[in-house]
Amino acid sequence: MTSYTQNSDNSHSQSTNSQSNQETAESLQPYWTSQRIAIYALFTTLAIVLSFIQIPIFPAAPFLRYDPSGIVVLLAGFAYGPLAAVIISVLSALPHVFTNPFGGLILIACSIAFSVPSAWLYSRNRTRKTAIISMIVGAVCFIATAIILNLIITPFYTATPLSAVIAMIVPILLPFNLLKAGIHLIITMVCYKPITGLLKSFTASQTASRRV
Amino acid sequence: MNPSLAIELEHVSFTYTGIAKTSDSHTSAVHNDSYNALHDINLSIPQGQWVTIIGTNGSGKTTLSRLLAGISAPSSGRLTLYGETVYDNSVSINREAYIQARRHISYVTQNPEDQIVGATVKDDVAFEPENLGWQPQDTAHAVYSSLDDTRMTNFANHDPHNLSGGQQQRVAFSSALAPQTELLILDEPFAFVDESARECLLETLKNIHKSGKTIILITHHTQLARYSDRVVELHNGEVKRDMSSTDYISHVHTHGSLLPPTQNNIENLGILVSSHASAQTAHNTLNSHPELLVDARDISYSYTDSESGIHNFNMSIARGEFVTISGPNGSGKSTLAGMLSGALRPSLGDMNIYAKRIGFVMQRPEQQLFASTVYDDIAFGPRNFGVDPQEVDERITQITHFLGLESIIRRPVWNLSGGQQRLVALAGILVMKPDFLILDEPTAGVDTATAEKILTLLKSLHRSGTTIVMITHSLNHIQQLATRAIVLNDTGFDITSQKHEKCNTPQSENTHEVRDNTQISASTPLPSQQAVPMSRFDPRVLTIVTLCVLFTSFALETPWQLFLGVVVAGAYVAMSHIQLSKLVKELHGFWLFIAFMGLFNLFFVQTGNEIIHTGMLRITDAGVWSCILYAGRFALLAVIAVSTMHILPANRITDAVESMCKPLKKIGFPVHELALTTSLSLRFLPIITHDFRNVMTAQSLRGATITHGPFSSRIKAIQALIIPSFSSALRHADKLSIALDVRGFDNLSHRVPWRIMRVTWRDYALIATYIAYLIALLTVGTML
Repeated sequence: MTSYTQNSDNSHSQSTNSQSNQETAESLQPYWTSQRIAIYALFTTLAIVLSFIQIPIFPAAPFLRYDPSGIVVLLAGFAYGPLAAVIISVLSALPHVFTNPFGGLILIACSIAFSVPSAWLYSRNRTRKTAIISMIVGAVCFIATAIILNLIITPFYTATPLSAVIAMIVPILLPFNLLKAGIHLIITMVCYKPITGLLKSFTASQTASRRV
Repeated sequence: MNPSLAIELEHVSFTYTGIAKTSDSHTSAVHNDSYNALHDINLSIPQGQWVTIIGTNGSGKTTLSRLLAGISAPSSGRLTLYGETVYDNSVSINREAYIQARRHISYVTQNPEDQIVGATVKDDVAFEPENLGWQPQDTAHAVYSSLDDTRMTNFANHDPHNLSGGQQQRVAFSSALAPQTELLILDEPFAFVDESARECLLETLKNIHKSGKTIILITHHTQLARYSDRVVELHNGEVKRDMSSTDYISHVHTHGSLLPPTQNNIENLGILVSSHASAQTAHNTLNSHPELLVDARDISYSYTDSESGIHNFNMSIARGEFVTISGPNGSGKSTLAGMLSGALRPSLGDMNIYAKRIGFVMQRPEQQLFASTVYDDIAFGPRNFGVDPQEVDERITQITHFLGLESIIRRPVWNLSGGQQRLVALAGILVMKPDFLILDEPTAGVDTATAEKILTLLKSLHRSGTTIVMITHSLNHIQQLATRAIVLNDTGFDITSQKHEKCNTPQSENTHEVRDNTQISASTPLPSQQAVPMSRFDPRVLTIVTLCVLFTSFALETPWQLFLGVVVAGAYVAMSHIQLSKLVKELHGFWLFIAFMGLFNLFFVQTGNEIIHTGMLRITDAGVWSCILYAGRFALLAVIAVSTMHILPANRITDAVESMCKPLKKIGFPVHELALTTSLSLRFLPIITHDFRNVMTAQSLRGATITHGPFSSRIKAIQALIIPSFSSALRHADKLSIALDVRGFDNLSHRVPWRIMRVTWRDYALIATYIAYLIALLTVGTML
């Protein structure tokens, strides 16, 4: 739990922090500060809101719908590390667990499969190139997870035998999830710069206000 | 240190580093990337004193309030809070001392919305006592007595988000009073509070001061000085005056107000006024029949779980009028402004607005700023409307000259002071030459000089023919500016009797009468007074049983099993007391999915006997059955989920899950932190959607469209929505984290929830019923 404390978001504040006594004070802070809770709550809210926007993007299978919540999880993972991605994936899917139990669990698994590898790779080398590569890796994990879980879960939702679902992989499941991952990737790249810019200036202003 | 001192500052300075803060128009302290907010402050405040700290925007008073509240640490000097030396040059920040000291301090800021963490009013008030580890009975007592002090008892069960700004501020007051701390720090607490509520809160303050509490009130209103023992005036980060309040008042009398009045030429705004508007005013003076600009008939707007809002309201506004709207908190002023601007659509009635261009200045309009520089932000609107660049430039030159913003025009909007941001946001709206301007408390929360500028501006705009509707609490504004004043009555349902009642001390007999009255008239069940809230079922048992029921639904296979499922869902609906019409309405999001699942199975399943076969279409009896079965399963899931939300709100479920996961705490799993994150994210939901809607209205009135136009301008429009929404969300998160710290978040390990979860016979009955349901399912399953 505490192993992520070092690599999560200290890099934001280092450039602006000049006073040595403050740095020592910061490193003494526990992982769960009130700021962290408030920020994670904020990202969770955004993910919840977006997870209810469900757009059918693949005409061949209108029951498979695209929800943009994964973008928020990716952005949070980039900014605050893989642990944040896990937390926000799980918390933001809880409302769905209560209305659509299996759907909610799929949502959690898929969102973790995409965001955690991306956030982990990116945290090792924070460049634009790594960001793209890490998201491609994440996308591959996500597509594999999504297809496997679909095989398991579809029989609960429709009276289809497993063989029929397997037959759907190439014509329906694979292209749909590829499309979904592609949209995630593009929107995340577009939003990444302004959002991290805002987060950076926000962290800088918090540092400057010398919060205890 | 002297033990009777509440707070002691010795040579305390505060320097902002890393962010460039530009100078205010009346200060000259500009540095490259750091500036001194406070310089060498020496101040000791004995216990039991009421101190007013007065200063203009940018004088450092908010920075000082954060130091006093134990939220921020000084850059140098020595700070002692309640005997704890929290900061000293030689030893730096002492976190442990800070946590100890904060237990003595409560802090209320200007925006109550950002301090409320509870899902209901009473849960919010209970938050700090819970964190302090009080016994549930003591917490309950503190909750109801502090709600009584602020006249909010009747709102105990309300969702704070549906209350007006002033009512929310009273909730924040109650929450600050509940833990019975020795020191109460209030930073501009009356900015959005109406006259009667202000009287009431001041009365409460006087009472707690009498009982020996220390009060520090930070404000730019010199009038508030008279309630205190002592006044400290800040100027450019230094203590300018420190004297008794009687001396200070006589000083203000003889030396005049705090700030010199601004000198602006009223007549030089010609180019900023819509030519249409001025032509019309000229026309109006000749013609006795004024042209109608707004025509609203029988409009209503109501919020889902609150009876406040607007009911059957009629209003017409003629071109050239200056209408002020005032009324007590919760009377629907902001709702009305929202409807005039188009942000809200009346749920009933007709509303016609014949304005060419509407300008909407929402509450705290600085929220809408997004561009990289002041110039670009102001130019955003006119550029969207295709105004010639040269004219855009001329208009901006003029408006910035008028508002004294020339020196900051190339600066980034982020680093301006609050007052400057307000003026830039106003400029960005006025530059579009609206002929109809709607303002929601445009001067709230800015200092006298800035407010004066805004009022002068409005006066000259009105003189040149702009129609203006302004929400205000100030009688002075109404007298100075209004051609017509609309005072809204209180439409709230159960506070009416209290509103017109003079605010009495909690002990007086009159209060009890008031409460008796409302108990009779209240349409919602009142909380059982002074009692610890208990739900009918233990939330943990109900949550687990419901999850089991949900998963069991997937095992339904035969008609009889499906029938049993329907019976169970019916039982849930009955327990939730939900009206059928409301149930259907809340299920609307699920119907499409349910229908699709049914149809998919209808056509996909080809086994069994053929019923219909025409061309490609082939339907079998097995297909029909699986259509009914799968659609039925999902309908049951949806009905049970929606009913459960009515029995057990999302926050109670969060509490239940937290309580069940408690054993995980022992292995270092942050159970409470995660539960708190979840419940805060539920709190954020309405705040963020509300902000987003406001930003969307404001930006679309500035010509931002996503649905059409060239690609580049759509991208710009998306930025104009996302950046202000996200950054205002970040600001909320920042303020909320301050509230968490002040309200005992550091003390989590000792937290005692005031809602007791106890398993009773009802819960055993619930479990027994579920087991009976399972057995019945198995029995009817083997029957066929």
